[in-house]
Amino acid sequence: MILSDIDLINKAQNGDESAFNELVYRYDRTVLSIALKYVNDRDDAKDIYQEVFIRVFRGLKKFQFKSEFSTWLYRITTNVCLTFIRAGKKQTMMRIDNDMETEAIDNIAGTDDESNSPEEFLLRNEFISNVNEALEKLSPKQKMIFILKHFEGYKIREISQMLNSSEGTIKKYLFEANHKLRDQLSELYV
Amino acid sequence: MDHKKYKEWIQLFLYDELTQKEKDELNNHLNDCNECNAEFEKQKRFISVLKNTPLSEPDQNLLSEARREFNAALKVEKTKRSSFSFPKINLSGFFFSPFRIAFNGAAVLAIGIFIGFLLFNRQNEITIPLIEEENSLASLEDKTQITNLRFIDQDPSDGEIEFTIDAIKPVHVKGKVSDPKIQNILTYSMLYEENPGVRLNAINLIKTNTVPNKDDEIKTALITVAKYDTNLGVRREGLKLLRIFSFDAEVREALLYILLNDENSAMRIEAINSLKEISEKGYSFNQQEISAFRENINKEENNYVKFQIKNVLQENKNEK
Repeated sequence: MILSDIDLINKAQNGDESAFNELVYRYDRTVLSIALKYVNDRDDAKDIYQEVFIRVFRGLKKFQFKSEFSTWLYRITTNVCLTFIRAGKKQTMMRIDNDMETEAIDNIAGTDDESNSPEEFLLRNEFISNVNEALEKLSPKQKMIFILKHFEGYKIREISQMLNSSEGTIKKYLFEANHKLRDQLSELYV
Repeated sequence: MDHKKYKEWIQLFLYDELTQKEKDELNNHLNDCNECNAEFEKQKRFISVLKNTPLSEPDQNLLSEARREFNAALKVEKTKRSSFSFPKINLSGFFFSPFRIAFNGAAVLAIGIFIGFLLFNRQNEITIPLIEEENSLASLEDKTQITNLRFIDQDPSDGEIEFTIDAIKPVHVKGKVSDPKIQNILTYSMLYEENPGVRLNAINLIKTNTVPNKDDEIKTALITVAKYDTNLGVRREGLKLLRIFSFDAEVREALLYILLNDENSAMRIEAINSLKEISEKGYSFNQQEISAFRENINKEENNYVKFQIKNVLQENKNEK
């Protein structure tokens, strides 16, 4: 049967490796998604993913169900992201990964849809690049909160649990992020 | 007039974060305030533009790579800890018998990684003493690969230094496929080998000699492979081989998991066929299992799978 998180955690705490794997695989796409949006670099996102789940592995034994597992996991994820320092890499602005670019071009090649024309594609990439550039200029917390709210769709209440901050604080960061982004991207939407 | 508050509320409104009372208050304000109305339109455009700007989402390749790298890191992590025990795969016999002369491939001798986590709560790292034993390093042999040198004492002032290394040594193995020790190695390879071709070979070799219903460790490993391996071919072979075991609760759970979660329709077809077989043998699914079937009917895209789920539900209904 499909086991609940609680069952899986109990099993994993007793050394059941497959239960631990299942817990990881149940949530890892979201963790990777948050990490990738935050660092905008595939290798860095993998590093964050690894660090997050190693911390989960280390901490699971002591997990006491005082919060949802997912809340705890995403709290670890946001902490790791916020403290992440790129090792030996330049601070990158958004770049369209080569693989992703190739894939996107391949997709375009197979369709007559005008909305996916190469011009549209380049324009879109430039647009994404601008958005990421603007995101890079936010403080780490502003950026994280904006990503969680806008791109991942979490409720403010959930974000406050993840970041262990009050809802008022989250709103404050969100407003600041919104304000800064609007300033920087004004040409794109006005 | 507190425009600041309403401007903030506009943002919250567009994220559906206002209470009904706040929404009504905002609406009333917008009806009377041109400034905030303009702000509302601006913010709406901004949010809409951003909504059409999807940032990078992880693709399957990235996810697979992340999982693979994490599994490797986890192995190392496990060597540092003994609090998590992994009783399912036990290779102790292999490592502490004359049999260890074999294992064609990169069996990890190094100690720190392999022995520590797989088997006992032993000292995880082996240090190579350079004291008076001229041949201690030579004993590592020519083909041994040395990696991950970590200094403990790199101060040569007293004439000595101390460090640890990981030594990876190829060993040659020859033995009967029915030998439990060989089966253990194959099981381990099926789960942890990096190359999917090797994992697939391991499953195929296990297939030739698995004793149905007796090899619990193999069954558990096959369940893990069928559910989680990143390679479709490996997952599918794992699932096929799982059919030789009795369809106990553990296997049924795995089949349902695959039916509900695997993105590949061939896997779901394989899973539903097995579940149908279970049903035909007269097994009555419990309420939780029935709910899982029902949940899947609504989201299943493959018509054959959908049809078979309906059949299973019908059969189950008739049984009762």
